[in-house]
Amino acid sequence: MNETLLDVRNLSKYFPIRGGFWDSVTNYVKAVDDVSFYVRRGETLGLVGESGCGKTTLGRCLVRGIDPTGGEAWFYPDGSEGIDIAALSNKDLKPLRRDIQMIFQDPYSSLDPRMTVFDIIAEPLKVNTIAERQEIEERVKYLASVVGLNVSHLRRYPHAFSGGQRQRIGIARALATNPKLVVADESVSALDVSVQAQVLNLLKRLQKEFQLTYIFVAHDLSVVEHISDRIAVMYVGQVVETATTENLFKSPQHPYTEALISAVPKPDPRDRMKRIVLEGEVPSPASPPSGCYFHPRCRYAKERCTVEKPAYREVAPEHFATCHFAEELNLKA
Amino acid sequence: MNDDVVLELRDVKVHFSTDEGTVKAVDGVSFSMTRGKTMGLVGESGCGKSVTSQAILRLVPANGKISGAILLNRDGQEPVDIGALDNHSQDIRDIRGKDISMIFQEPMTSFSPLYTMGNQLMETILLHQTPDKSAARTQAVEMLRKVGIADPARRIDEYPHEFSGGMRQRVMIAMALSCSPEILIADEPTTALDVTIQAQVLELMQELQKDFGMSILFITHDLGVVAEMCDEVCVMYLGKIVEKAPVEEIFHNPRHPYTQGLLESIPKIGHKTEGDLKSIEGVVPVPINLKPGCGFCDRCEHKIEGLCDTYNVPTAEVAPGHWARCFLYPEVVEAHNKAVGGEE
Repeated sequence: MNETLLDVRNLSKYFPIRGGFWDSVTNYVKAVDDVSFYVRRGETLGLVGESGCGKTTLGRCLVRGIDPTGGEAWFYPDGSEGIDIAALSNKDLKPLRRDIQMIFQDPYSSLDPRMTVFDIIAEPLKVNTIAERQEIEERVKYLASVVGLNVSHLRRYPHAFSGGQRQRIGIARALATNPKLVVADESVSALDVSVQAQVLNLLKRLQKEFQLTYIFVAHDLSVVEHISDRIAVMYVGQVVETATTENLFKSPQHPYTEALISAVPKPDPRDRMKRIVLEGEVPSPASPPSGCYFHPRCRYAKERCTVEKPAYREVAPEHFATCHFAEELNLKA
Repeated sequence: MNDDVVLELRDVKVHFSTDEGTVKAVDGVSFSMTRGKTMGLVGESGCGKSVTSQAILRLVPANGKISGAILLNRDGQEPVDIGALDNHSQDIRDIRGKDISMIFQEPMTSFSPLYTMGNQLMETILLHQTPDKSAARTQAVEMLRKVGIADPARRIDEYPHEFSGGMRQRVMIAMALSCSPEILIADEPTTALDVTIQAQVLELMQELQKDFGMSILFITHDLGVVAEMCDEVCVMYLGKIVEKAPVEEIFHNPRHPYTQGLLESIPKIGHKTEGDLKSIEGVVPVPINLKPGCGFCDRCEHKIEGLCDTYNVPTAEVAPGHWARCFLYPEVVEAHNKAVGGEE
């Protein structure tokens, strides 16, 4: 059986900027710009980056909530034959929808306030004609108990639940169709730490129970480190580094990753060390800098970085980075 | 009052009357802030940390009632009890922005979109320091330079939408510090920012504290930021301070089960562990019509039946400078026995 579940090749999503008298397209926001990576069956790939780096857009392209501009995303649901998600028409996509599901960030706005929890979890079952009446009831009750919801509360509306419980409802809904790939977009960032830990533990348990593969989109590096097997770091629409979690934190190969890890405040007052403070701000993906997108903020930038765009290449086994000098820098986390 | 203490809260309560009952958002909070030091106020959403800070400036919504003493100790003056002032009195207006100023969480919504940054910055200066507009402008430009805004003389005439989130937060800090306040209240100042920008803003705040010598009340739910910034920490739960200690003690010798649970439930960067995170089961109860007893006892694994769920827990010093509100410690039980004995 094929080990790879999803193989993304040169995927792009450009949003047009319109302006002028005729409302013509003047420029593009390159939200996702020539991104390649793969996800293995049963693993969790963490997708980190700062706001505006395109991680959410990338996640949405993969569930085809939006249509990518170019590139391919090969999905291998049964191991043998691949399907290019990026090229499918909406009609052909429908049978695939049940295999790829999404858990959203905001547990307050991603649930319809006029539907009961039962109806919310049952909806994907009905839409995909997975279960008949009697079965639906059983299946919804089963899903609710799996994610730790009280089955007797299923007739209530979302407003009666706390943030953590609502997130559990969203998870139950995503699991209803027995998906193979789940894209979790900032699924715990809106929660308090004690509840966040509960939901993270739940996601890990469900992964084992249902053989799920996660793409875990988040900005919180410590959470991503905890849950991911491998991590992809994004900056201005591009993946700048991909590696196993251990390697990424032990020997980052891209200066941005190094700075990002260093910037996270450590919960230990004895650890108050000198942070790497990046100058300036993230450039706009509508007008990125020349050469390497990171060079204006990079401590190690050289002449070559300002003119030549670095390629995304394998700098060590299983370790990919977009930096001209990855091998020479010897970065530390 | 000790000269080193700039602000002291004694048994401060903020109760909101609502249709469902009285919400005791802040229920007997006491702590004092030392000159030039940073006090951290941590807790999860709804624990009352923001309302505490609002009470200090008397900014709580109209249905909220503040009681208790909030003593402001200004240089060479009699201490003022902010708790006894009227919300609209000239006295409190003189304190707001001059002696105590505040940075808010949302850099996007805390500025008026209709006025230029300079206009909003100069307002504080004109109100408290000088009636001369051109002098105020010079001072505002100087403040912007101090917080690291490039080309301040030009940017001062721009509107808030022309600034990025991190830059707006810098302007907010400039505004808060323009009258050299004794106390700066920072309510989740970096929560809305990205980590690399957060690092810039935290660095800036530390530098400015050295220059201006103000005390900071740092409100946050991020324990990493607390470890980085604070000298002393108060942990709040359900409107009460459950533990108060120097920052080293909180992180390396936490006493209250809630603090312990919080520290264990955060994943630590660079220390990946297999297996589950330790989580605190259950959720924070709604602070309406609470039963007597420890607010945390339903989620606590060390709960003592008949004690934790029946009596309100007093606070006691369990180690030098380390206060906890938990019956697991003999000092607390002693304080409880004394209080109960006194009633009988």
